[in-house]
Amino acid sequence: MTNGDTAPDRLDDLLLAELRQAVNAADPVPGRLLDSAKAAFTWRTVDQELAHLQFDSLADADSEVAVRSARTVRLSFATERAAVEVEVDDAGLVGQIVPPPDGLRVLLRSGDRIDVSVDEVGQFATDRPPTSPIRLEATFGELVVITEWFGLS
Amino acid sequence: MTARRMTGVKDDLPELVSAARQGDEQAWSALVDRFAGLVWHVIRGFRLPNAVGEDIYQTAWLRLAENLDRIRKPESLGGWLAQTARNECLRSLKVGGRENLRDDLEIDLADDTAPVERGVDDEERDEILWQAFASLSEACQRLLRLLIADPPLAYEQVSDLLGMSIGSIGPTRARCLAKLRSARGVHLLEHE
Repeated sequence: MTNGDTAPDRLDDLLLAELRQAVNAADPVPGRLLDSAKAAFTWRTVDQELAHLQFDSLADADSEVAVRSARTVRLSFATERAAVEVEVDDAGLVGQIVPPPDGLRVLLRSGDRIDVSVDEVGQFATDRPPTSPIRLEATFGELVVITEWFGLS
Repeated sequence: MTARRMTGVKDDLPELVSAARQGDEQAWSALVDRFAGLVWHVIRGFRLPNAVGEDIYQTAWLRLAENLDRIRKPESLGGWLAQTARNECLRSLKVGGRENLRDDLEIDLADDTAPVERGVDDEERDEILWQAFASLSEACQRLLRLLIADPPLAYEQVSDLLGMSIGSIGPTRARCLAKLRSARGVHLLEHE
């Protein structure tokens, strides 16, 4: 304030530095979240083919549609060899995998795996709504395709 | 000190990313330690219930673990993580048209504590600033959270994350800090 026009900026920088310390002290990253972030590495898919998210009705920038049917989320995943379409809502999930896989499992964050039956055209349904992010693992003979994590929240 | 540290950060990031890609768990842990706070600040800038924020936190890291091979420029890793976390937060806000108000940050400002004395210790200073911060608008909190992240985000990244032009970041920052300064007790801290 006394040294010309750079002084207010310098005061702001100082205040921001103090704020950084105060916020980090009052609201630190919880230790268990740090642990889980470190453990995320063990989920890396090495042998499976990762199906990347292609479409997410909630992430669609023209969000009118998304908002109107906000309790239903539509997602698409794809690899070069398979496509996965899923609809998630409070009742559970329904979807289709093309080509139809030999087997399908829902993987939970806890490490649990739940087998889901798939019909001859690759359609599936479960009545278990995801409470935290899940992923789908489809097997095609030797090949295992796994989606990225997804969920309602 | 700051300059040295920042140079260090930039220098070994490509090595860490490449080591983690090859399965080096220690390199991964180092990446988590480095960007843990950044991801946290991005998420806490949204008023989401704690459980949702924590899920998003974990999702961001799970996504990174799986997409390490797709990060072309290691120096963009912080921006990538921040974007991923932000997208998940926006997504979550849209679910059911949620308008979540986080309950744990509500602070009763009417409950006047003792007037601030000069010479308050560090803990008290932190507490005063934290309370003042918590009283700011959500928009100010979100911006300031991004600005205090360490390692720092470029204004360009902040602009992308907030959907705000680069030119308006500086003035908004000044306005938010002015509000912070005018909150009860804070101005006294600066006169010491």
